[in-house]
This record gives sequence, structure tokens and C-alpha cells, in this order.
Amino acid sequence: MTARSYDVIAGELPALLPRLWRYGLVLARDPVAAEDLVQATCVRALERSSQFTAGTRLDRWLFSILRSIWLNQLRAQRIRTGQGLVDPENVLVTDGVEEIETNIFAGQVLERVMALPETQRETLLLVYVEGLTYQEAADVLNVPIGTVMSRLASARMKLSALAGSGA
Amino acid sequence: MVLGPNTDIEVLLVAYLDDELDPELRREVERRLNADDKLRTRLAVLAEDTDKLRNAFDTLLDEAPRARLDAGLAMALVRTPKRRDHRYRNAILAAAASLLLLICGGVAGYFIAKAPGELFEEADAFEEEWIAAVAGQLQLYSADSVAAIDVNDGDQQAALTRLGEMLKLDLSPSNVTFEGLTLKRAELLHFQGQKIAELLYASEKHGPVALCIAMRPGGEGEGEVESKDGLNLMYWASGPRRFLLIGAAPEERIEELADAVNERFSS
Repeated sequence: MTARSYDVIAGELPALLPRLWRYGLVLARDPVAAEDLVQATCVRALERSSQFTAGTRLDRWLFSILRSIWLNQLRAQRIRTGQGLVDPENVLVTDGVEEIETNIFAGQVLERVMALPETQRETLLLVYVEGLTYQEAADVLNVPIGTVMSRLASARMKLSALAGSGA
Repeated sequence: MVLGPNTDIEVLLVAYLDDELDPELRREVERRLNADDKLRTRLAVLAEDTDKLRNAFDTLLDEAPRARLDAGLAMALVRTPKRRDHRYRNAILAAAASLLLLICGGVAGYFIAKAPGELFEEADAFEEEWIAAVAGQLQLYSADSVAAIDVNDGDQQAALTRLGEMLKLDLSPSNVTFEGLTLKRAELLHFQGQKIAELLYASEKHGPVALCIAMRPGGEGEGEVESKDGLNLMYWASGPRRFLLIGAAPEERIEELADAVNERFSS
């Protein structure tokens, strides 16, 4: 592993942990699962430090890693429970009505966002909270930029509708 | 998907609000907005304040379990040390300190890895790995547990006797008692065939402190207090033994304790 990249990553990770946890929380909707995701992300980032170019955005790189670990966990879980591999875009109905068990999402905005399908939630987080451009979000999410746009539009329409109806 | 005039209008409106349209498309959308009341209304509806979203998610950051996240990182660093470069001892030091934060109940925020070359100048390879082992063992303690540990005097006495025999030191209770500290655990660690005694103390005035002693010659003589974010440590060798003192205590306190330890146990 490149000495310099490793040092850069080890040095910058502490300050990034809460944001990584927040992203993990948006994906997993569970604070403890989010902690595990963060730790697994740290391990993989350090193992693969030679793949990181010092001087580029470390946070974007870490988001990609965290996401990839999450998807692998999901995939493994679905195979174990016999659900097979499901296109995340198609899960939206179930996700929408699922009860949110933790009260860490108290507050209207958080509640509404966390009730959205996973793909819309994470796109919202990356673009509006983490400040990624559409293209950067597309890179992290590994989807075409058009998908980012349609997810944002769907999410925002839904949130506006909920706000308007006083839900 | 290439954005064009025929793209779904909602997508165009959102991209317009986010300033992600190229100038030509932007003008096209503005033209349509000017010409269509309903469209302007929809834009207003859509312009749900993204600040609200951002604020709501920023408050989530405050909920982050920082001490546990730090401990997770410390474990990751211990598991994934940099190879063939002795600057990684700093990452391992970070591990040791961060893990101690875990048992300090989040006393002092983050531990930031110090710049290479400044810590443990004299440490050899064994030291680095030993400290990693201490760090690994410290992570077994949860945030609030040290003060709450119940001490069985008989067991503790027996443990101290065994450790004393190993180290050829007098570890009688009076010798391992320091003002303001309560000895909670006296344990034997094994690492690379090396035995290490660890004494873990709770404190009323500051955070927990750990004293580790190994019977192994060859370390450097003089130690210096290293400090960062409220966590301090000192490492030194004396005769055939090596000492490590680490805790969430002020620098002077660590120095004071190290002096006391050295006085009682130096050869």
C-alpha cells in the first residue's frame, strides 16, 4: 500500500466518521447497522489505500465504499432469505409503508425522507445534504445521471405533496 | 438520458432549481415558466426548501455515536496496519488512544493521528505491536464499564501476586495504589510469546488509566509525555522492563504517575 495514501486516509478518517455514519443510517435505517458499516468501510479503505489518489475527494471515495459494502450485505441477506436479487428501483412500495422502528428519525422532515425508497433517500442525501453535483452523485451511485435526476424529481414531488397535505 | 426539451417537466424543474441545466435548456425552461401559470405554481411547490432538508440531516450528525465510531476506526487501524514503514506506529498509537476513549465515555472528542515521526521515536517493532495488542484488549471495555467494575479483593490480590512473580516486582496492593486511582483490573496479556501485565485504574477526577509492564529488555530509557485531545501517554524502559502509561488524564498527572511508577519499580 502506498505509504502516503494510507497516512492521508488514516489522518482524515476521524473527522469523516459522523458523515459516513449518517450515510449508513440513511441506507440501513438503523444506527447500530450504520456503525458496523462505518467500521467495515474503514477497514476496506485502509486495505485499498493504494487505490486512492491523494489530492482527490476522500469523502466521495468513502461513500462509494460504504455503499458497496451495504449492497453486498443486502444481496447476501436476500439470497439467504430466498428473495433473490431484486432491482432496488422496484422495492419502492414495500419500503414506503415500512414502519420506521427507531426514534432517531423524529421530526417531520426526517420521517418523510426516511419513508422514501432507499434509492431516493440516498440520492437526496448525497445531492442536498452532502452537496454532490448530479454527476458526482451518479458516479458514487453508479447510475446514469438521468437516473439521479428522476430520483430527485420523484423524491421532491413526494416530499412537497406530503408537506402540502400536512402529512 | 440526454436532457432535452422533451424531458419530463418535473425532472427539468428540479434540475433548474438545482442549477444543473446548461444555459440553453435553462432559457427554454424559463420561457415555459413565463408562459404557463400552472407550471410556475408547480415550481413553487417543488421549491420545498432544501435548507430544511439539510438542517434536518445536519442534526443527525449530532446523534453520531462518536466514541464508538472512533473505537471502530481504531480497530480497523489495528487490523490493517501499514506494512514496511515504521511510521504506522502512529496509526497504532491512534488505535490505542482512540480505544481508550471508548472507556472514557467520550471524554475528549476525536483522536487525530499525529504526524509521522513524532511519536515513539525510539520504539522498536515489538513495541508497536505490543501497543496494538493493548489497544485490542482495551476495546473489550465498554464506555461506562470501568468505574462500575466490581473488585473482588481476594482475586485481585492473587492476580497481583502472580503478575509480581512474573515481573519480579513487588506488586503488593500498597505498591500499586496511587492517589486518586482505584485499581479495577490486574490482568496478564500474552503477545508474541511475551507476557505483559496490565493494571487498569478508574479515577474520580479524570478518565481511566492503564499501566502496562513487560519483562523484556532493550527498550529506550527516557520517555516523554505525548498528548492529544485530552489523552496522554508515556512510554519508557527501565532495566529489564518496559512500561506504558496511558490515560485520559492531564499531562502533569501522567508525568506524576509515571514518576511514581518509576520510583517504585525502577531497577
